[in-house]
Amino acid sequence: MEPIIRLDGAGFRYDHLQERPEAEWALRGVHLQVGSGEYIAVMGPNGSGKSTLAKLLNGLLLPSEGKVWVGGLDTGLEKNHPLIRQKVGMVFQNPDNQIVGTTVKDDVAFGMENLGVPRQEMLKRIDQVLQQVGLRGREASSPHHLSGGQKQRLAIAGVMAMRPEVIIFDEATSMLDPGGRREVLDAITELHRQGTTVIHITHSVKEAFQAERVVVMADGRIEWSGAPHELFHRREKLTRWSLEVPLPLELKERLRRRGLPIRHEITGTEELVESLWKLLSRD
Amino acid sequence: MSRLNHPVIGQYIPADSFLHRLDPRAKLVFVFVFMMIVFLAKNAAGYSLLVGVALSGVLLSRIPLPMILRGIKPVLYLIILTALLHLGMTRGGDVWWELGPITVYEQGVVQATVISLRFLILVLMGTLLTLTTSPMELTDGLERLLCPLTRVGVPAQDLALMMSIALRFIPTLWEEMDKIMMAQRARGADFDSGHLLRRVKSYIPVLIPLFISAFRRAEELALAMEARGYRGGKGRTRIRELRWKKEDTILLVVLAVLSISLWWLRG
Repeated sequence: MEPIIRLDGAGFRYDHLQERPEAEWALRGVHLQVGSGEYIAVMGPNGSGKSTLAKLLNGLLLPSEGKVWVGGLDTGLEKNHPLIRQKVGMVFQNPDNQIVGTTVKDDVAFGMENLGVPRQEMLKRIDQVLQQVGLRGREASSPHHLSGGQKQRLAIAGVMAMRPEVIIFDEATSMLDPGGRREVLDAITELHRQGTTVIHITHSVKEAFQAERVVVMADGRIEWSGAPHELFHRREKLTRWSLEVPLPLELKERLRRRGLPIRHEITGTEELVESLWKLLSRD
Repeated sequence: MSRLNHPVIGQYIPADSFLHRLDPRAKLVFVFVFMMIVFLAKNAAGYSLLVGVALSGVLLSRIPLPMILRGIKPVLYLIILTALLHLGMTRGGDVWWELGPITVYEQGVVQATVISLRFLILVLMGTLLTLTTSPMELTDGLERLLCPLTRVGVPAQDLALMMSIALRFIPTLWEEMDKIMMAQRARGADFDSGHLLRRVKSYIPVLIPLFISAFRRAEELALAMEARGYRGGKGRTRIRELRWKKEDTILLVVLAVLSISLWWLRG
């Protein structure tokens, strides 16, 4: 099946650096395919090229080398941009700086207005997406009366109303409190369940574990890619990529170091708990 | 430490009155034309008519008089000053009053009264407009009225979007200013003492971070708008709609009748 997003050796360096040939590339030689309906987490330290990658995926930035394809459309051609922006929606980090409308309803409508969706259809979709993100009844609220989590859900609603195939979350949870983070993660899970392709850029290994595939970036390249549970065997690597080590993984490693007979291949919290139970009941 | 109160944007007072229900386009056209035909009035009959219209406006707005007066207050000093100038400077007619170097003529009194009355009516109508129309409605109204000018290059939709984004960000930036002020206070800044110049100067360390953050916000917002497919006004549909009702047509008929009567009354 043709992937919804394909990067063929895509690289990017910022314009003002182009005069110096030795100038660093923000992204270099990235090959990546994202299948329709996939849920991918992208991780990596600051400056590893995560956000640059995200902006290449909907034509906000154009590749300096290689090609980026969205649903068979080349992002390098400006005439493709309107369709690409409809297909690939994006939720940004700062909840305040992505809300355009003076009311919840106006903001959800903004993207659809740009697409030229007829008014009746807009009203229908607004009702539907606000229902989905749990903001129905707040149509007339002014955005600054919403909590951080609600603002991000509003941003998600605005993107959903455009009926995209892919939604990119560019560190969309990093400025929220734990409650708001939960709300947004639940919304992401629900979107994925309904068949939307999700690309979630995050610093949190815990959040990345919700995904089906994890892509780790470092120095503008893809360093590692695989299923999240495989990360559990790579504690040293997590540290090297300056990513936090999740508590169950840390616990497993320390217990093993103490000489407890816990299998190395354990892939998640539940398995760990189970093997600990077995150990306890054996005594 | 008292946090700053959130500003009331514009002076809109929500209510359900005849004036509130009118279409913002009708109100804008009325006030705009009214501001010109005020100058048609040349005699007592003409001015009585204008005062009558202004007072019916006040009644129809169902807004308490003190609130309307509060809207006029800032301009009141200007009106008094203009009146005094006319009183002292205009010559003609009988001398009514002499006080040292200042001579007040009959014409001066007439001029002063006429000018202040005209001024007062103009400000009153403007105040009624902003009291009964929300800033967003005003923006929508202006956008629709400027729409025909799109063909000669007036970016009506973009201007309206700019205005609505400004309205959207006023509370956000206000909150931000509050935060910066507290941060500067924590470092020993003092905003409440000293003479005027010093107090104004003490706001510089607030305004600079505020501006920098506003620019950063603007950049991020522009990116977010582009990501949501914004490409300027062309080909956009609108969720906000304005409904022209029977009352709006009546208002414009009243305006036409008023203009003709004033023309006729000037004799």
